[in-house]
This record gives sequence, C-alpha cells and structure tokens, in this order.
Amino acid sequence: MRVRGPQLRSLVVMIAAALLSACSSAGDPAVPVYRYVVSDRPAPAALQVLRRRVAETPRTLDPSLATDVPSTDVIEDLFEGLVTLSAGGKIIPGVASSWTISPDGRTYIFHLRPTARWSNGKPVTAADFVYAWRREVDPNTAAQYAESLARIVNAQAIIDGKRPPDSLGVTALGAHTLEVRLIGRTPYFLSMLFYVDYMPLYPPAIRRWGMAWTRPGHLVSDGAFYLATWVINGHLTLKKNPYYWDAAQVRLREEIFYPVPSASSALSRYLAGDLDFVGTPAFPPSDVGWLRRDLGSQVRVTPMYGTAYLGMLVHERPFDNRDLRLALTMSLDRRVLDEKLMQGMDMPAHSLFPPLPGFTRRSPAWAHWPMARRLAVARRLYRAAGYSKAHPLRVKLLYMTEGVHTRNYMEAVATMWHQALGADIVLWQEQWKVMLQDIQYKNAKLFWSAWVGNYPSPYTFAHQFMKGFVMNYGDYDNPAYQAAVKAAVAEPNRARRYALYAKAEAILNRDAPLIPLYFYNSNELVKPYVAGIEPNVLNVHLARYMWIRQHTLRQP
Amino acid sequence: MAASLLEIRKLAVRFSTGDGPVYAVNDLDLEVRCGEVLGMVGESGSGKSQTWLAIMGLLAKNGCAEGSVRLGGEEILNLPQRALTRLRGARMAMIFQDPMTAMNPFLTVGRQMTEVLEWHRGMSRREARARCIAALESVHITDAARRLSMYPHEFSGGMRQRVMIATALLTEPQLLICDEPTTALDVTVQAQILALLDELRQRFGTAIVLVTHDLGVIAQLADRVIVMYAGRQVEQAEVHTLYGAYRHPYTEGLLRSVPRLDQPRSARLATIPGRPPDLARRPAGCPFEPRCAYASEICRRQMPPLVSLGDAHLRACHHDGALGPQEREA
Amino acid sequence: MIRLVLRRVLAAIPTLLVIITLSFFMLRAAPGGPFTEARRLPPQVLANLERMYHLNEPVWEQYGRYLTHILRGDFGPSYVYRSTTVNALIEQGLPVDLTIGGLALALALLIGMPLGILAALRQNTAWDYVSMAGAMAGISVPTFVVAPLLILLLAVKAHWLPAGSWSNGAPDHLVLPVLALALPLIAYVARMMRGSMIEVLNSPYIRTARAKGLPERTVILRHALKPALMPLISFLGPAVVNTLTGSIVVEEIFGLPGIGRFFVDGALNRDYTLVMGVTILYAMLIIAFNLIADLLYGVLDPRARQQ
Ligand SMILES: Nc1ncnc2c1ncn2[C@@H]1O[C@H](COP(=O)(O)OP(=O)(O)OP(=O)(O)O)[C@@H](O)[C@H]1O
Ligand code: SF4
Ligand SMILES: [Mg+2]
Repeated sequence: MRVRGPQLRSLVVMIAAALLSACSSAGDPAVPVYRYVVSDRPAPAALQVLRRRVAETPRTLDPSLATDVPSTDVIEDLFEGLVTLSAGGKIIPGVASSWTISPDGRTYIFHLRPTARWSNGKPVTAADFVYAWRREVDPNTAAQYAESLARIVNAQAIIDGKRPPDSLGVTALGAHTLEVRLIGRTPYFLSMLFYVDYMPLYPPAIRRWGMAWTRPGHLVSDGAFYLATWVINGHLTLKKNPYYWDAAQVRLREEIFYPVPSASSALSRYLAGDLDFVGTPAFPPSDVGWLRRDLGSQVRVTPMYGTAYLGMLVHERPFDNRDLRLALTMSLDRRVLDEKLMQGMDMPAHSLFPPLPGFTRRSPAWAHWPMARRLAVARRLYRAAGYSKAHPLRVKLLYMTEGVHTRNYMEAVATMWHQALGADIVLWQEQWKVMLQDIQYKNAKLFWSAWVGNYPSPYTFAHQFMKGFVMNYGDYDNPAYQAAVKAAVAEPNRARRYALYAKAEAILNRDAPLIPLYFYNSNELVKPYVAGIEPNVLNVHLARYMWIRQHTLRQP
Repeated sequence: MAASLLEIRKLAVRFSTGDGPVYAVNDLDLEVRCGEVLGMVGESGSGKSQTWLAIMGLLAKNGCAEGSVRLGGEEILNLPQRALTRLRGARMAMIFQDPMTAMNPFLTVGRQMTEVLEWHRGMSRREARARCIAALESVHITDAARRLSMYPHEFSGGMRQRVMIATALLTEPQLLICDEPTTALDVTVQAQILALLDELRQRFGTAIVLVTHDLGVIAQLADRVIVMYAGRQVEQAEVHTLYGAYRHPYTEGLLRSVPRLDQPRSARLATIPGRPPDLARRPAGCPFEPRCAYASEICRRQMPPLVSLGDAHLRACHHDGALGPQEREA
Repeated sequence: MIRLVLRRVLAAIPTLLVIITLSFFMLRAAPGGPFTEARRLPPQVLANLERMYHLNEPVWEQYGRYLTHILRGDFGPSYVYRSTTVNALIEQGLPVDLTIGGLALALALLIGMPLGILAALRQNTAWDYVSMAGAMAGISVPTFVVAPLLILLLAVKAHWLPAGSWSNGAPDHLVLPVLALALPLIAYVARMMRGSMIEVLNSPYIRTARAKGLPERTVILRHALKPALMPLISFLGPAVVNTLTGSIVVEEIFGLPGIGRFFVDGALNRDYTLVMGVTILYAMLIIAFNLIADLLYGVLDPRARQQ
C-alpha cells in the first residue's frame, strides 16, 4: 500500500514547474510531432533499448526501505518476489512456480524455481527470502513500511522490539521450499507478495557493502534486469540479467529511467524524442485535446486504482453531523469538475472503491439523480443540519501547495458549495509535509486525501476507514462497517468476498465519512514502436514484457 | 623675434549638447614661437583647455574644431587618427592638471614611459629604459632605475608631475603644452615644477604653452601672455607690457585678483564681480559687457575687434580712455 | 597575501557557524519531519527510525553530534535517500553544477565581455542600442521562462537538441542548460563591461595615453582593458550566487542531477542532513569565491596589492 497520487503530483513541483505549465511548450498545437513507420517485427537486439520516464529519482533501491513510487517502479524491474505481475496486471507465479495453502488459510508453502538466479549467477534460495523478510521487520533496519508484513506470525512483535527477528513465521524448509505462517486467513496475501517489501535479498552483498549495497556494481538482483548506472537525480540504466530464469523471453537489452518530475517537462521530453514511454502523469490535463488529435493512440488514458477524496473529522463539529456531510457530498457536480478542470481525464467518483474487474461498485442512489434533485435534497439536509443564508457553514479546507492543479480543483469545489448551499469555505493551502502533520495531529477538519492501491483488492481502500488504522484520519468508527470488512477479509470465495466489500461500501455511502471526488486515470504516452505495455489498474508496467519494434522515422 | 612654430587661425571649438551648441572657443588667432613660453590665462570655462585639446585632437566626442592650425607650416587640425599618432607625443606633447589621475594606475611608471619611445622611436624596451632613466634624472628624480618599476600610486603628486614632464620630453617635442601643471600641487612643489620647466626650456629650447588662471605663475615663467574671456582672446602682450600697461578691463580685473600669500586661496577668482557668460549664447556685443565697469553704448551692440596697439600688444575693447590706477609694476 | 587568506578563512568560521546553527534549528522548527508521510508510521517504527538517526536525543545533543561530525567532513546519512550519505550525494551532484555553472560563467565572459567592449567603443550606435536592449531583456527575463522557451524552440520544435537529462555530461545535453544559465549572465557581463569601459575611456589617464600618440589599439588593449575588467572581479561573488540559484531552476527544468535539486527536495522532505550539507556547501562556495575575488583584486590592482 503506497501513496501514489499525492506524491506523484506534489513533490518537487517547484515554482518553475508551475510557470512551466503556464507557458507550456505543449500548449502549442503547431509543434511538429515525430511520425513513425512501424513493423510488427522486433528491432535488432542492439536497438532494444527503452528510455522511460520515472516521476522522480528513486530515494533508494533497497526493497526493504523503499516507500516512494519511483523507487518501487525501478525495484520492480530489478527484483522479483515469489509472485509477479503479468503485463495486464494479474498476479502470476514469480520466483515461486507453485504454492499450496493450508485449509485454514494460515500456512503457505512456496516451491521456488530451481532455475531462479541472482544477477551474479548464484541460485535464489528460500533462505534469501527468510533473510529479506526478517531484515524488513528488524527494528534495526527501521523500515518505514515494515508493517506490510504484519500478517506474518510474530511480525508485529518483532517490529515492536518484543521478539527477535528470527522468530518471524517464515522458514526455509529446503533450498527451494519456503513456509510462511500467517496470523489469520488473508485472501489478499498472494497479491501482497508482489510488494517490494516481500522481495528476496542477496545477503552477501548487504553484509559486504552495508548501506552502499544498492550502488551499481554492488547491487545483486534476481529480476529481469540488473543495475548498471545510477546517477541520483539523473538517469538509471538497467541491463538485461542474463541469469534471469525467464531471460529467453526478455527482449530489452537496456532500460533507462530518466527522472522528470513535472508532466509538462515530461511531455516536452517526449515530443523532443528523448523518451519512448512516459508513465502517468505524462502531460498536463489541459493538453489532452490536441495531443489526442496529433498523437492518436500514443496517448493512453486508462483507469488507475486510486481515489481522490476529502476527509472529515467525523467526531467533531461541524462534521459530526451526517446531514451536513451528505449535503456537501451530494451538492458537488463532479461531472462539471471533471470536464472543466481535468478535461475528462479522470473519472467522477461518488463512492470510495475504484472500478476493479469483477467487482460491482455500490454508488449511492443520489449519484444517479438529476442535479436539480440532488441540490434540492442537499439544501434540505443543509438546513436540517442547522445552516442557512444567515448562518452559513464556515470551515477551512486544507490541501497542499504543490501542484497548481489541486488548487484550481479546490477553488472550484469551494465555489460550487458556495453557490449550491451558501457555505463559506476558506481555502487553506500548506506545503505537503506541513499538511500531513496537520492532518495527523487533527488540526484540520476538512482535508484533501488520496489513496492509490498497490494491489488489486478493495481491502486496500476499505482499510482506510477501519477503526484504529493509522490512516483513518477522520476517526470514522462504525462497527457494522468493520464487521463487513472483516467478514470480507476472511472470505476465501471471491464473489462472496466482493459482495461483502460492496456491503461495506454501501455503509460508507450512507454514513458519508468522506466526500469522494474522482478516480484516478493514468495518462501515458507510448511511442508506437514500443510493444508490451498493456493497461492495468495497478499501473505497473514491467519492462520484462516490453520490446522495441522495427521502425523508421517518417519524414514530415 | 624667433620663428613661428604654431600658427592658429580662426580656431573655433563647438560642442553639441542636448541643450544645443556650446561655443567654447571663437575666432582665435595666435602663434607660438620657437623656444618661447606662451602663457594663457582666463577664468574657469574661458576655453583655455579646449583650445589646446582641439589642437591635440583630444576633444570629447561631441566636440568639433574649425579653422586652421599649422605646426611648422603643416596643417594639423582635424587630422585622421593615424596621422595624429605620429604627431602627438612626438612633435608636440601635453601634460595635464592632475598628476594623480593622469597616469594609469595599472601600469608601472617605466611602462608608461618606455611605450612612448617604443612607439615613436622604434626603440627596444632596453634602449628605452636607459633613455627613461636619463629623462627621470633630468627632472631630478633620484634612484631612477628602481623607480621605473614602481607604480604611480607609489609616487607623490609632485614626483608624478615630474614623471609626466619627463615622459612628455622623451621625444624632444618642439612644443610642450602644460594645462595647469601646478594647480593640483601645493605651493612649494608648484615652485619646483615651474623652476624645472624653466630649466628644461633653456636646456632643450622647447616651446612651452602654459595654461593657467594664475597670473603669478605667468609672471614667473612666460614671455608672452594671451588673456582669454568666454572663448575669445581679449588681450595679448609681452609679459612685462601686460603687467605694466594692460589695456583691457578684464585683464585689469584679473590682475586685481592676483592672490597674495596672505590671502586665502579661494579668494583668487572671486574678485571680478558677476559671472562668466553662458557659452551657449553668442551676444552681438562685447561678452564682458555685463560685468565691465567701462562699458558704453557701443559695447552692447558691437563686438570689439582684436586690434594691434603696436609693440606686439593686441586687445579687443571699445574703451579708449584710461583704465583704473595701474598699481602694479612688472 | 597568505596572511590575508588566513585572516579571511578565520573570519569565515564564525559566519559558517552562525549559518549552521541557524539552519540547524530553523529546519527542526519547521512543521513535519523527515518521516512524516501520508501513512503515519506506527509509533514503534518511528521510534526505530528516530533511534537510528539519533533524532530521539535532546536537540542540543544532536547539534553537538552534528558539529563534531562535520568537523570530520562527515555530513551524515540522508534521511530521504536512505542507503546514501549526504557526502555521496554532494560528490555526485557537485560536478554537475560545477560543469554547467563553470561553462555558463565562461560563456558569459567569452561572449559578454567582447559584446560590452564593442558596445562601449561604438557607443550610441545601432550596435550599441541593439546589444544593450538584448542585454536588458536577458537580465529581466527569468530563467524559468527562458529555459522552457529554449526547450520549445530547439528541442520540441526544431528537434535539434535533447530537451533535458544529464547523460554523463554529453555535450548535446549540456547545450540548453548551459545556455539557459548563461543568458542572464552574458547580459549582465555585457552591461557591466560596457559601463566600466565607457567610464575608463573617459578617464584622464586614457587622455594621457592618447596625448602620447599611442594608437587606439594600444590605448584600449594596454591602457583601458585591465582597469575596465576590474569590476568583473567583484562580480565574481554575486555571479556564483546567481549561478547557484539559477542552477536550481535549470536543474529542475532540464532534469539534471545537481545539488540544487537536493536542496529543494531536501527542504520539502525535511531531510535535515541533506539540506544542512548543501547549505554549508553553498555558504562555503560563496565565501570562497568572495575571497578569490578579493585575492584577484589584490593580484591585479597594484594599489590594492600594496596593502
Ligand atoms: N564635452 C563638452 N561638452 C559641452 N561643453 C563642454 C565640453 N567640454 C568643455 N565644454 C565647455 O567648454 C567651455 C570651455 O571649457 P575649458 O575646459 O576650455 O575651460 P578652461 O578655460 O580650461 O577652464 P578651467 O580653468 O576650469 O580648466 C566650458 O564652459 C565647458 O563647459
Ligand atoms: S568693449 Fe566695452 S564692455 Fe567690453 S571690455 Fe571694453 S569697455 Fe568693457
Ligand atoms: Mg582647463
């Protein structure tokens, strides 16, 4: 589970970037675009080099310590866990070729491929997983996301320093057999195994180099690629790992990541021909029109597994009043916001869980009403909550300074509420880190939030509103909701599980502890000669599936 | 009478400014003879410096000179740059008022001297050095060899003026123009420099133009004197004639204002009532008229021409009667 | 000379100490910490982290520890770039800034100086007006406007140059960032050069040189050039500051791995050690270049040399 949206959009978006988008190169439709003649055959091996954008420089390439999206983007091509993702984003066998799950759902036995190799040719063993997972929960490692392993027996106690790391419920039964014991049934456990926190590590490299083991030349990885160059804030070059068990299927010789924080710079770099693939956000929303016209299928807008919403402190005035919360969420015309501010690039959200294949979302009934009716009901609820023209709701709305885009959106939201209900919303902008602190210390009653799931299960969203979870910033607490979510977690059957999540979502819709805004769509730019990039909700594109087609530049 | 070295005819200097033209020198006729010391006096702004800068081709960018100036019979006014570089510093040299700023602070004294000989005489640096040492010694600078490698700021004001004079004389020019060479120096040093100029004149026979507004300096050194007022020559005479029998009211004013050592320096120029005229305007009559005690009707209407009174004495004044008590004897 | 250097180095120590102390405590006073994240860390994990980085100690103790470490030249581990030390980050980023900054400064002198001198010699001609209007524009249009414009024209539209990235300092990748960084500097140098040249050409010693009959070429090259260059030396200090701040923007826009971005990144993410390291480095650079400027003055100006 990692926060993608806010970090992607906010960090390092400097004044410069803001102005950059103001005089955006990309706004000009007269820009000449490269056109290509592309064949279905792969380009010669020497040309199998992919230049792609990474949103920022990775902060670390240590899978145990990574917390940011750029780091995981790179680590996912370097390392491979027990399971991995298909091009379409499905969980498929990785280093483990098969596994068995005990009937109580608490014990997993993984059978590792004997052919799995580290980039130095040494075999990947069950002990490498044991080492990595113990290291992750060891307090001396101080891994920020150690709790990702919390479902494993003793993990929490080890993190808390109450038990030694070797008491972790994971055992190498043989060189290629790994046993994992969980504290309870965890249907989403297999999908969590794709997390970087669960990736194996090569112990000799870490013992030898200490903190510097992630530098090129020191780093030993078991994925499709190994690290050749890493200039912090500059490019990273990954080269094909000849020892990778599926190396025969890997066609890229080299993958180069360039950190480009702002979407408008990324677009310029793409148009200048410096990049072959730009992940989301690849361009400012305002440019989508002409880009679609001029670049056609190079522009890819696909759903992403994330939701932006406003959180509220539901036990404090004024948001302890459900009528008020409902009035606010009903009176927002998300379709207008989406069209005017996002150029239709995101999807209006009326409930928490983003779309997921096989899962039927439960939108609140009012979402399907005509706007006039919604407004009428919202005004009634607003009055019922004790507000009126003479006595309007006055409240601050906290969001971050980073990103012009968020600011425009928040201004529009405030205006809409003012027009619909007469509410006085004071916009309160803070630097990202300051905002986080204010939210965590409950200094804000109404605040911007976003969540992007790293594995395809509604649970990652449902968790946000569970009592006691650190990210339940609004302190929402409904036993019925918690029971539904817990039942879903324990339910092995997918259809029944999804039905339970839908039930939980319906409770959320009724209680309205959040004001959903939109579901993230990813917007990507892909040159026509790049193959193997398929849309997937996790927005994870592994380079092992990518390849370069034969192509020539068409003269304009 | 010695042969004429420099003949100036109808010299005029005009500056174009944002407020229109400024007539700094008008209708100037005079000559400098070989080996003589010609003094030029006048209040500040009377066109003394601009006269000689025009002749040297050193007018500011917005200035232009008209008329004719012949050096040894050869026209030198408004020569092209290239010709000027052969003339200046070789056949005529000029030194300026403030020796503190007139030398380049970034170059050694030696460099600033040798370059003259290297350029005009084609000497090698070594030959030039030897000549420069001799030149410094001739202006009474001791330890000359060592001083060549020193910078101007390491010299006192009087020493610098000596260096300037030595530099100017390196090429043995026929004419040395000294524009207020002692004004910035204190009185004892002033006297030394004047004595030096006198000595050099006798030794090398160089003609010297001595520009000053200090009649005392003129009295000490000059053979003949030109009195300038508002860009015009108003009187010209042998020095003893001028002191004994000046014939121009303005000269009278100047002489009355000659300082004595018991008077403060600042009192020097303040004694002629009124202020010098605005050079941007050209009056029809005598420019001194507003300040003149002898002015009559004709003075305002008609410019008095420069006429000879005989005995190489010229003046430009309508007034025929006697001037005030001539209290000073030459 | 040696005494001057010594004295200045000694004088720099209290300055540095004040800068270090102020930034140390100001950083810590800023809301949010290096490990404030959207997902609030469980208390135990946070405690583990704080113990690891000694953030659990009293702030005075941390300050003392920090001082003893930097005395050894150790800026400590980066909090945000975990697995990397601040020293390693600076070692990697500084050459980038020195390259683009140095090239931009060189370019500024190479182009700005002749431009300014020619403008001074051809004062009030069309050449003068055009080049000075250009210089004015160069100074007043900020880098964050110029850089994207350069990208738009030369990379996106003309496809002549790459729009960014470092690529180990490949020349084609250097052109645009160096140009963006150099343009205001060129303009600045040209204007300064013109002004000081005009002033020198009007000075009495230039009249003396001309009165000596020296050809104009000698007058300018031997007599006017050096004094006219002197203001450029005092420009060195501010130029370095300009280049440093300019390079933050340029790095950001072109995606270069310089230390300017560490500075911004570090500040936004409360990476105390990283921000401190870069701050100290910037301060030392500025102090050093001001000292170099003063020394150069001493070497070049005989009047200053004597004192
Ligand atoms: N570049 C210039 N532009 C306009 N006017 C000028 C310029 N240079 C000199 N003048 C004017 O020409 C007039 C004559 O100046 P000049 O320097 O010859 O005076 P001066 O007799 O030497 O006085 P001083 O005793 O002060 O040296 C002055 O009124 C001055 O203002
Ligand atoms: S002409 Fe007239 S005004 Fe001029 S000086 Fe002679 S008397 Fe005076
Ligand atoms: Mg003068």
